[in-house]
Amino acid sequence: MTGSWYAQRFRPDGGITAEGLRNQLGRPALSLPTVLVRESAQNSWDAKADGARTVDFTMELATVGPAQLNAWRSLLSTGMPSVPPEVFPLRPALREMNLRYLSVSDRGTKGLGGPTRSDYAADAGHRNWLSFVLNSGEARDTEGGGGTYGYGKGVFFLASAVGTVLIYTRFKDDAGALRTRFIGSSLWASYTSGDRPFTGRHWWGVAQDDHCEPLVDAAADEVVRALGLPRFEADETGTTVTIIEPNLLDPTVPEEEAQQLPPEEAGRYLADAMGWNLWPLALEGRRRRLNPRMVVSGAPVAIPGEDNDAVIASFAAAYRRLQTPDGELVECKRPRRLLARFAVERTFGAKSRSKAASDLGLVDDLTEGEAPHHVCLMRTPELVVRYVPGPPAPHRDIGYAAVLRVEDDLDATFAKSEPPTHDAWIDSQLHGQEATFVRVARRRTKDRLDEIAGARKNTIVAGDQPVGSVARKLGHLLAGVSASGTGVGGPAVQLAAGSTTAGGFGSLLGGGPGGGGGSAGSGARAGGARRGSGRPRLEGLPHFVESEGGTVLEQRVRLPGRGRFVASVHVVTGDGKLESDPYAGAVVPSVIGWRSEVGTLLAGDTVDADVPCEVTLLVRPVVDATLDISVAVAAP
Amino acid sequence: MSRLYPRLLPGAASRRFKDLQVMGPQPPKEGEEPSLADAVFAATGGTRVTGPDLTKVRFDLVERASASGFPTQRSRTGYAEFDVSVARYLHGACGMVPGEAAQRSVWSYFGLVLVPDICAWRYPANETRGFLDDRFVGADLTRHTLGRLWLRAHLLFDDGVGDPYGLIVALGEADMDQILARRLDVAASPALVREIVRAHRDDPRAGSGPKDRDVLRDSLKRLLRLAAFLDLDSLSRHQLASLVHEARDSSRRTLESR
Repeated sequence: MTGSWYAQRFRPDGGITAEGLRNQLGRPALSLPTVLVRESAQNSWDAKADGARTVDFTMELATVGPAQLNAWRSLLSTGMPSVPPEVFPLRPALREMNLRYLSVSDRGTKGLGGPTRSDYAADAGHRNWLSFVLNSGEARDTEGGGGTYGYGKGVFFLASAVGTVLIYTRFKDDAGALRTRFIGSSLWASYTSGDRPFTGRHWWGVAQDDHCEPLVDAAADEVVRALGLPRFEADETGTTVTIIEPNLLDPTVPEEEAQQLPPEEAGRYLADAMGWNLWPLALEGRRRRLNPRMVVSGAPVAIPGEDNDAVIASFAAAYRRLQTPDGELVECKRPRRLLARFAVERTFGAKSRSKAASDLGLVDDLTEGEAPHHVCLMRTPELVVRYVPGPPAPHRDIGYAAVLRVEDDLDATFAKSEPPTHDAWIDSQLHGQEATFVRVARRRTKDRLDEIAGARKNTIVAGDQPVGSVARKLGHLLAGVSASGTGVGGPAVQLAAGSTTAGGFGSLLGGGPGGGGGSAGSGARAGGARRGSGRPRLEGLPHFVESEGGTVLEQRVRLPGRGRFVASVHVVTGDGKLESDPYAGAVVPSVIGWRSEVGTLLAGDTVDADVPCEVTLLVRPVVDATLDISVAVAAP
Repeated sequence: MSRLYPRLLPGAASRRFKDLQVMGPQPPKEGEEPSLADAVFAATGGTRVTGPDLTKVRFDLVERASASGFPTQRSRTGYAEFDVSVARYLHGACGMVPGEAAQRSVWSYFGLVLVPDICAWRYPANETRGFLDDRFVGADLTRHTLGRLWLRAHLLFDDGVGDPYGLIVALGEADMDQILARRLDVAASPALVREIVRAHRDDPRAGSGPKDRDVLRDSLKRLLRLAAFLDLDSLSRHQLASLVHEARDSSRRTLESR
């Protein structure tokens, strides 16, 4: 037994057209390949079989081989409606010598069982075939499932340039026997043929009077073997959806100019999209995990993940920390409610460069790459909802990767705020408390990201000379970078700046030769006080402060009592001495002035004190140098 | 196998230097082996040189010095030739390992016993201070007449190229002194010194614009700032080279604009 095409007619009581179904997905902000990965993986994850530890999720991009081409042509031409190619574009496609397909397979999933006619009643556990092959817009029936709208399958049709997919599935029937089904499905445009209106929905299978049944068991297996599509091993269950002539345009160029990506690049893109969108499900050590694979013409393509991508590793590290005491709680105060957990990982040198990451807003400049400054939003299904950008860190090698995961009991609320493509949380879709929760979570996250990025606070006016370039280069020293194993692939350390305190810089130089001599010199100056009122003392380490006038180095100084004190700042050279003869055109550090405890500013290197007090010395630093700051009693 | 050379201990060295100031250099007499009085050897670490060995070293050094004008003619070019050929000889032919060459008392023996006449020719007494002690007594390896030549060869030894001593000729003594004597920390990294000398030698813009020497000196000052916090030993040759080129480019640009 073999199949033929069945064209759906309009019923007397109306029906939805193919165009209507195709438009259900809307126009997502993400590129089609990304949406395809996200939606199909989510379908697969929701369909995981009871007891299966791993869901294998494989995409295979291939060209129909010469041995199978005739089978494709003869099988899929059988009973093809005689309508123009505009309404049934598969017809001209089958004549191509290079017929491409993208098969999306899941294993360790339930498969599509249950009734094959939508006018038969079926309970919740038996609606897989109905909701995937026949109906549209069914509410989810999986605990913790992601497919709230049931539109996920729409993307398969959108992803085919000829609106046609082949569905091959294997499941256990109620008696526990393994059954297979095969059906083709096409969705393009409604039309009228011979005075009869058709919806534009077609199925390829065992055509009946008023619907189409799939090929089953041996007949289904035989067709799949003839077409050369992925089959089932041993007692595997699952589904393979094969997209004929996949529409894989380069998402980085405007749609009008976009070309089909060559297979290797398309495979790379899909592999990257799997990595960036599915990494939480693919983490090792999960109780149940998704195992994504990408194959192009038989050759595997590596999926970026925790092991081989520094940025994903950072997000994963933050994710793993969510449930530890390091995980921060995001709470709503009124009404009091725990909304989500939040964790962050600082990165150094980790950058994303892939087009798929750029599609998710993680990177603008593909050649340079970009350090992450994003929070990854997640709900109970633990798929990436989206990456929300925060302010970038002040230095391009520094970044942060944060994860925000909504508490399970609020999953439904946040799910409702998502558009059909599950890539945003929009509180205007909600009302009352639910809107409040979404809004508060978003605001708290934004505040936290501002804090992490070191957004400016406490600015002081401490100079009128622009030192913007210095600020930019030194700024990264302000953010505390925690070193962890994730900073791979960064550039070699080039230049840095440091600062030192008087009498102590030898140690900061890492015991460089002669360091002791130089420091003794500055100490001696401070010790040269003759008034018997003790020495001025530098308190703590100096630190950089970003002000409107640029970057300033602040050093707290304890003045011992009545007297006049003078501050000096020098560059320390590699031989541990104070620089006396700078290179031509060198910028040298200078003392800007002093700030008293009450905030009064005094310009110049000299300060008078009446009583013991603590003041702040303001120094204009220079880039790429080690500085020595010292304060001494001024000569009478 | 490394060779151990006699060491003249500090007390003996300063006594002999005083004698030198008064009586002038007293080289070993013709046909006699160099004296080993007051000299000691390290207990382990190599083979002790014998009397005939020392005679041979002295002979070789005298031969090289003579080719450059020793003992009567003194000229800038003669000194430059002497420095280059003796640097090669000491580092390449004397079997002295760095641990031995780092012993200042070894150089005291060379300067005060083995070849005091050559050292006195190379650095003659000046009218006010007489002979300068650090040219004879091994106090500072960068100042001793022969020690600095060994150090120069050691720093510039460029393994894996046709002539491993090819960089020695690239810098004159004054420029090399800039690096060695005054810029201690830069000199602490031989790889950096080699890149500095190489960049100086191979600069395609040499001879145009600012003086080559000014570019070298200015770029050294830049590198010295960086050396305060960069771990130069951890950089690859390529990274060092780009560091040096960057410094030279910046210096050249700034000097040009003056």
